[in-house]
Order: sequence, then structure tokens, then C-alpha cells
Amino acid sequence: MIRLLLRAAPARFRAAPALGLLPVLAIALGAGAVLSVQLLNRAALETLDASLDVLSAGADLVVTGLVEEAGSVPDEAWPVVLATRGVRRAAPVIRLAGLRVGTLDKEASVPGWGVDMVSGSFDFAGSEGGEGTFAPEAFFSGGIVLPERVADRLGVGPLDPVWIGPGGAGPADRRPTLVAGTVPGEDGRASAFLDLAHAQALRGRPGLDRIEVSAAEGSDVEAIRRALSARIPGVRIEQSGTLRAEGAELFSAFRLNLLALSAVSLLVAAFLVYASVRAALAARRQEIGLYRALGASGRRVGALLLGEVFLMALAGAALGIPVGALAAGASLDRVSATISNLYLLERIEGLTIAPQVVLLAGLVAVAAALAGAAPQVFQEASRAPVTLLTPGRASLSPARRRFWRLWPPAAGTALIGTAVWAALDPASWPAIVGSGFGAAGALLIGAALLPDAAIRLAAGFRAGQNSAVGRGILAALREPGSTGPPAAALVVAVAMLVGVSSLIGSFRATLDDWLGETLAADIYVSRAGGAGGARSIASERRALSAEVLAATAADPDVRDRDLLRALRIRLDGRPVAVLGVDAVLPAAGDRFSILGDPEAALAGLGKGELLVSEPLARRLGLEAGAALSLPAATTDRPLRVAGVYRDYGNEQGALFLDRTLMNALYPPEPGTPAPVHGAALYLREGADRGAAVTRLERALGLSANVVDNAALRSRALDVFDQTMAVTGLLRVFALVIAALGVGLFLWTLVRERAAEVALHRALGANRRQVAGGFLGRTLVIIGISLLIGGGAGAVLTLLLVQVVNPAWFGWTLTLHWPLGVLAAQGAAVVLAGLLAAVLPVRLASRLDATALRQEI
Amino acid sequence: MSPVLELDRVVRRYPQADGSELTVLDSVSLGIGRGETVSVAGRSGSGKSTLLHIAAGIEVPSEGTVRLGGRALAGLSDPERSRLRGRFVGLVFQFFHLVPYLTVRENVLLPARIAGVREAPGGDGDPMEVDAAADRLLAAVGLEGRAREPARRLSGGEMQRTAIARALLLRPALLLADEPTGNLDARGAGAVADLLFRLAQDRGAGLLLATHDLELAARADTRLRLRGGRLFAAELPPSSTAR
Repeated sequence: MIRLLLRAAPARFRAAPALGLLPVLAIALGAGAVLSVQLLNRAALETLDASLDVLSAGADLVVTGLVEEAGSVPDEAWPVVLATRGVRRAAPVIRLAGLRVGTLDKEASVPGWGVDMVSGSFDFAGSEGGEGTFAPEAFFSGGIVLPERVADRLGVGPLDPVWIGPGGAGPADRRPTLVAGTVPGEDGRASAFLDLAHAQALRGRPGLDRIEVSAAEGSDVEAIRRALSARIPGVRIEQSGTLRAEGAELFSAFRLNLLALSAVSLLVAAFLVYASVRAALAARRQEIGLYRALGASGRRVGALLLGEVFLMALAGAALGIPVGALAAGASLDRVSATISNLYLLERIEGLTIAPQVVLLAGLVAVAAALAGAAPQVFQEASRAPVTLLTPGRASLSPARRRFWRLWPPAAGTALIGTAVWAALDPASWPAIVGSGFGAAGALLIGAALLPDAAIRLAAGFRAGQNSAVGRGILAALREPGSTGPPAAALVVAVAMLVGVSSLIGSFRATLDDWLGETLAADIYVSRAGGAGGARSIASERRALSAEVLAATAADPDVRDRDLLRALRIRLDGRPVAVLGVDAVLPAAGDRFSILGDPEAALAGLGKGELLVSEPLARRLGLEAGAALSLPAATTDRPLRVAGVYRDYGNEQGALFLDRTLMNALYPPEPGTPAPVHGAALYLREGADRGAAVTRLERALGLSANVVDNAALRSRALDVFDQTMAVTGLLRVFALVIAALGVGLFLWTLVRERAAEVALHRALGANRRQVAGGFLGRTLVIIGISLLIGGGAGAVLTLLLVQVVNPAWFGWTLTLHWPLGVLAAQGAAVVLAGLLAAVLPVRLASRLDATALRQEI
Repeated sequence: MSPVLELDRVVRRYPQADGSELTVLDSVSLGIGRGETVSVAGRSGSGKSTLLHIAAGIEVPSEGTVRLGGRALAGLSDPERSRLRGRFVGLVFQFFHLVPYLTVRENVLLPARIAGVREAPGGDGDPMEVDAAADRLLAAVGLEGRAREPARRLSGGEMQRTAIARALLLRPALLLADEPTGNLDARGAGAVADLLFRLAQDRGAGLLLATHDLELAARADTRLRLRGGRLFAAELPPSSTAR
């Protein structure tokens, strides 16, 4: 029988192509969404690997600085490590994040490493696992070894001239050199290498970033770790791999968000499968009844039908692979920008399409398809054969019919109720379900269960029976089964659009307010090409030179200066920015948006206490008055928390303290002044801000960035928009899947109702009237979707703003409805639905009375 | 000879929207042996189809016992009942119920595909390949030339002849025919009726025929009438007895 069904599949497909195509395309798009997000997440992790683990293969321990500043491991530590008993090899490393390499007309960014090859402690060819080319003389003279991919892109080979510059450097910091060789390197893990001393010179400061330690065979790694801790103060010594785990943890929330968005696409696809299987089974009810009458058991028929869905799901998943790969490629730049903005300096350079990721996406898509089909299949297979064979015969007892009619809205209302409860009372939430994402999932599924009931409720609608569109609306309302399924898919898409757009709108409005509140200075000065904004915690942040500081002090319009020092430490296994400012600065009263008592908090800052960012406070459970042990250069230092401030600049956590205290806790190298990484300038009253900016730009030339308050604010919002751009594609995905569902479902309906249409034509209906009838159905689908989806989207917004964001990112957002965006999206949903209906409606309008003959 | 079908005080009630129940079959008892033909006549809605559906085990009675080949259906699970039906009963419907996108031959072969068998009992009792059996049946119903056509291209008479061939493929002990000529013109109806009786007789199958056509009903050995949910012996028109 399986063989027979398989052989008959092409004929069945020809008879009703839409019924076959709908689930296949829906699954393809769902699988594509999941695959693209998986590929992007994997690429992000590979980029992280490239920055952390590319050199660590085979290392047992990693020595890093207590403070994550570039060069925080002293050069002197290396011989100490080498001389420690049990150490077989110690490779000193400095990292040149986002190293720029270029020729006259092209340039590229690549993770760069300063390594020591003289001592034999490092062999880049072995580390990269492939054969490369290498010109030792050029390398030891300051040449660079490039990944082949980058060399090809730049069109250079060994001994060709290139320029190199540290990450974020301006043209003034570039220096010429030669290509000293190439290494193969896998996509996403390809790195460039420089000789250690030349890398230090390029960076402009001594010191190492870390030392990779390999233990001799048979030696006790833990004993080596203890010995190193005792001999080298002020460093962290950790098992190799810890850094990666911590790094992966860093942007786990971001990856989870992408995953959740892709899951919505899959959910929409599952509803379309549900819808299409329901339509297909309705069309094949008598056929199924015949199989049952001829001796096939219900279980067997159910298994066979699920087998068909499985085959369609396989076809969909196969089609989804190129879709996912293309989508991932198209959004690579956006995700890369997000990752760079939020977490890393390197950009994601390429995608690796790993078989296990493809397999995972395929399996998830097939599982979603089977889950979508199973309820319908088993319901149909469990019916008595006679009810399947007899058209129009009630297949269920009145009690069971009532049950099947009532359980979806009952379950849907219960799920939505739970989600609303979670949104309104987040505090009691973790004890009940445990995750805002769980509540969001429940909400979307609950909303998708409502359209049938909503259509039944609206069935009393009587307006417009004299028009074709009105009659179409009426028909749709009287047949919830023919309208509900595509509406369910569109409901999920609309809810997702509203929820995510409102979240982003709330976030942007909050950020805008916060920037307005905290960017109190008139002008901000940072090192030219320096990464990030005023409060960036990038470890490659570069200090302002003495000349720049002098020039800002000498400007006649500058009334006051707020100097900032930044470095990075680790707290609870995650990086945290430590930012030093001048606590007592009369001109700068509004630098912080304090939660609670601002006066007490600012007074505490002046007395040597800490201001802790909201995400950090949430993560570590801190509040005003709590004590925090700060890992300082020599020993941990317990400090009191003076207050918590809002910070939307990063989710990793930051804390402010007085700069004088910071310099005492983290003293600069002997003989050098404490670095200053940024200067916020306050102008005299009545001073011309534009003129001051121009004057400073002239004075500082290419050595510093000078931006005024408004420009910095606008730049921060640009970065935010860039960061959120990646969600756009996934939102479009969900909408396209749902619109496709509407279109194909209508197509199916037109084919199913060919006889009914023919009857109308025979009774004198013209083409426009026939088209109007189907247009009416489309309007019902769109209207119900906007109504229920809009409501569910509002609750989803509350959930995302009040539960998910505080829990996962530590941010408190102010609710803001982006009405313009929502109206535009509503119009997009209407347009997408109507566009999807164009072909089916056209097909319907072309049917004529001869279709009656076919049915008889 | 033990009966191939026994119905013992079978009752079938249907719940109504107002909460009451409609009794369609009221304590119906009936037995059919191999080679015996029984017709049940009655008006539309009298319960003829329900009787046949219950006899086939595709509908469950509210009360009473149904035995197929001596086995009570009530004690069987759905897979067991389905298997018994597939091997023991051949069904012919008023609306043919062919799978439109399968060929005529594939439709005839459906019972074998569902039962998962490659052989069917031959005329002499020896097994024969189901494909050969299907070809022989198609020849017997005069459709050998249309075996590879999709079923949707057949005329009504051809569809019903295909359905008869399908019903007889596995040489069932019982043939149940529900208004087999109800959708055919007089000429087509006559041809199908001839075929049905001849083939049932050739193969020694018991035949239970539900029809409102009294002439067709009169061709059966035992003629019954359903009225008010109960079975009565039928009075036949003179022309029918003459045949």
C-alpha cells in the first residue's frame, strides 16, 4: 500500500498541486529560518573561537591579566612561566583585535596575533592545521602572515607590500610592511600573525595579553597552576577552554533571541502544515474512508498519512537548506555588525555550512511538520469509516463535536491568560514557568488557537449581503474551518511583528531618553578610530595622547573637562567595564540616570564608592549599600555600592568609580601617567559649540575624534539601528511564510470549490462577483489576524519588555508603542495578504460553468 | 453450512440535535450463507445503507451482535476488524468510491495492496497472483482495454464495474452491495446487476444487496423489506417473479 501511495503521489500532486506545495514551501521557509540563524550563531561562535582559541590547541593553562587591558600580562612573566617545573612549552601571545590590512585600493579586517617563533614556542602552520608559505626573513623584519582568503581578497602574495594598522586605527597609525607568508585557515578561524615584538610596537605598548602553557607529559596541571599563581602575582591562570565558555556565555542571550525569532518562523510554518494537512484531509476524506472500508485500520491509515507528511517535510527541509544558506549570507553583515557592536571587535568574515547544523535544521523542520500534522491525521484516522465515506454525515456525536469546537479557544484562552499573568506580574513568573520565552511561546500558540472561535462569534455579522465581497465575508464566517487555519498562521506572524517592533521601539525610545539625560557634556573627544562610543569597554580602547589632553585644556571655550579612564576586569566569569570619572565635577551633575536616590549615589561616588550598571546589578544581585569585592591589580578590594544607574550601552555590565581611586587600584606602569581614554568637555555659557568642534578638530588633526553631543547621540542611535537590523529579516520571513499560506490556502479553496463557483456562474454570477467572494474570504482572514494578532502582539510586547529583557539582558525599558511603524506593518500585512490572494482570486474568476461537469 | 454473516437483534440509534434519538434499525436479525443472495428493499432513509455498513463492520451497532464468518465483531480491535473486513467482505457502493487519480487496474488491486498480499484464491481454489487475478476480473467486467486509464475518466457504468471487480479480487465470502445501480441508467443498471449476480454465484460468495429497485431486489433468493427499522419478507411484483 505504501508503494501504491508513493506511486500515486505524482498523480495526486498534479490533481491538487497547492495542497502539496503549501506544506513543502512552508517547511522550506521554516527550515530556512532555523538554518540561517543556526549558521549565523555558529559563525559568531567561530569568530569568538578565532579570538580566543585559535592558538590554544594543545595548551593546558592560559595566563591572562587580572585586568583585561591590552598587555596586562607583564613581559617578565614569560621567563617565569618557562622556568616553572612541569611546563613543557609557554607561548606568549598578544592579540591585535580587528587588525586592518590593506593595499592601495583594498583593505580587510582580520584577527591578528603577535607570536614568538624564535623560541620555537609557536608554529603557526601546525596551529592552523595546513600547509602555507612562509618567508622567515620578512616575518622577523615585521612582515605579516595572512590567511589565504584575505591574501586572495587583497590580491597579494608573499613579499608583496601591504599596510597594517591596529584595530580601529586611523590612517595616521598605518605602517607599511611585507606579506611574510600565507596560512590556509578555515573560514571564520583564519588569523594573521606578526612577530611578537613587532606586534607590540604596532600596538604601541609593551606587555603580553596571555601566555599559553602546555604541561610536560605526566605532570600535574593543577600543581603547575598553583605554582604559577604563587610566582606571578596579579594574573589569572585558568584551564584552557574556560575563556571560550565564558565568551560563549557572553552573547548567549543574543543567540537565544535569534533562535526564538527563528522558532516563530517555524511555528508559523507548523500552523501552515496543520492548515494544509487539514485541507488535504478534507479533500481526501472519502478516499481515506474507502481505505478503511477495504480493510486498512485507523492506525495504519494514520501512519501512512503521517508518512506522506514526512516525505513532504523532507522535500521542504531539502529546499530550505539553500534558502537558509542564502538568508544567512544575506544577513551576515547585519549580525556581524551586531556582534561587533555588542561584544567583539572582529567582524564575522564567513559562514561555514556544517553538515550537523543542516541536519539539525532539517530535523527540527520535519518534527515541526509532523507535530503540525499529527492532531488532524489522528483525528481523521480515528473516525468511523462510514462517516468518512458519507459526505455531509456528522462524523462526531454532538458532545464530541462540542468538545472539538470548544477545546481550541479554551486552551488558547488559558495559554494567553498565563502569558498575560506573566507580563503583569513578572515577579511571580520564574516560580511558575521559568522563562519569558516560554510565556511568549504559550501566547503565540494560544493566539493561533483562537481564529476559529472568533469567526464563529462573528458569524452573526449580516452586513453587505447584497455585494459579492459581503457574501464572501459571510461565507467565510459561516465556515470557520475553511478560514481559521490560514488566519492562525497569520495571527502568529502579526503578533510577532507587533511584539518585536514594539520592543525595538520601546528600546530605542528608552535609549534616546537615556542618551538625552546622560550625554550632559557639549563635546566628546576620543582617540581617532577608537572603537565604540564614550563608554565602550573594548579592550583595545586607545588612550588619548598628552597633546590631545593639553589641547582640550587650552581651548578658550572649555569650562570643565570630565576625563574618563576605562579598563576591563572579570567579575563572576564575565567581563565588566571599570570606568573612572571625576566624581566631583560641578558642571556635570546629570551624567548618570540613577535608579533610586541620585543625590546619595553621587555623594557616595565622591566618597570612593561604586556606581553599578543595572545589568550588572541584576546579574550579581547588587543594590545601594551592598559590598562588591573588586579584583584590583594586586589584591581584591571590597567597595560599597553607592547606587545603580541605567546603562543601555552594554549588557555585559559596567561600574563607575572616582578616577583617582581607580588610578590607585589599577596603577599605571611606573613612570607613565594614568591613561585617559575619553574627555567630555563642558563649554562656557553662550559658547558656540560648532565653532569649538571645528577649532578642536583643526588643533587635533587626525589624532582624535571630536564630536558634539548631538552627533554622538545620533551615532549611538545609528549603532542601535544597525544592531537591531538583523531582526528585520526574520520578521520578513515570518510574514512571507504566513502570506504564502494565505495565498496557497485560497488556491486550494478555489480548486475545492470549483463546482460551487461553477454553480454560481451557471446561476448568472459574473467574474467580478466570483472574485469578490474570494476577496471577502481574504478580508476575513486578514481582519481576524490583525485583530487577534494585534492583541497578542500587545501582550507579547509587555512580556518582552517587562519579563524577557530584564531577565536576559538586565535592562529596564520604558514601554513605547511605535504607532507609525505598527501602522506601516499593519498595511504591509494587508498588502501581503491581498497580494497573496491575487492569483487564487484570478483563478476563481476564470472558472466557468463547465466546471460543473467535472464534478459530476 | 454455517452463515457467513449473522446479525442478531441489531439496533442502531442516532442522537439528534434536540437530545432525542432516532432508531433506524430496530432489533434486526439476519443470516446469509455462502452462495446465498439476499436483497433488502426499502425507501430512501429506511436504514438499508446503515444495515450494510453494520454488516461490513464499518459502523458499530447500538445494540446486538454481528458475526462475520462466525467471529463476533464486537470483541475485535480496530486492526483485527479491519483485517477481517479486508479479507472476508467485498463492498460495492452506490457512489462507486474509486480513487480518481489511480488507474482502473490500481483501483481493482487496492484490497490486495491494503491487505499486503501478493496472491488471491483462484477459481479452482489454488492461489494466483493478484495482478493476474485483477486482469482476469477486468476482462470479466469488460474493462480490460481501459485498465491503465485514470478512474476519473470512466463513465458511471464503467466505474461501478470497476468497483465490482475490486470487491471480488480477494474472493470474499460475502459481497455487500449498497444501491449498486442507483446511479446508473436502465441499460447500465441491468448490465451491472447481471455482472454482480453472475460473479457472486461463480465465486460462491454470499450477496447482501440493498436497493430501492424492486426488480433488482426480486432477483435475490431471499427478498426482504426494511420498514420502520424492522425487516419483513417482501412481496414481489409479478414481473419480478417472472424473471
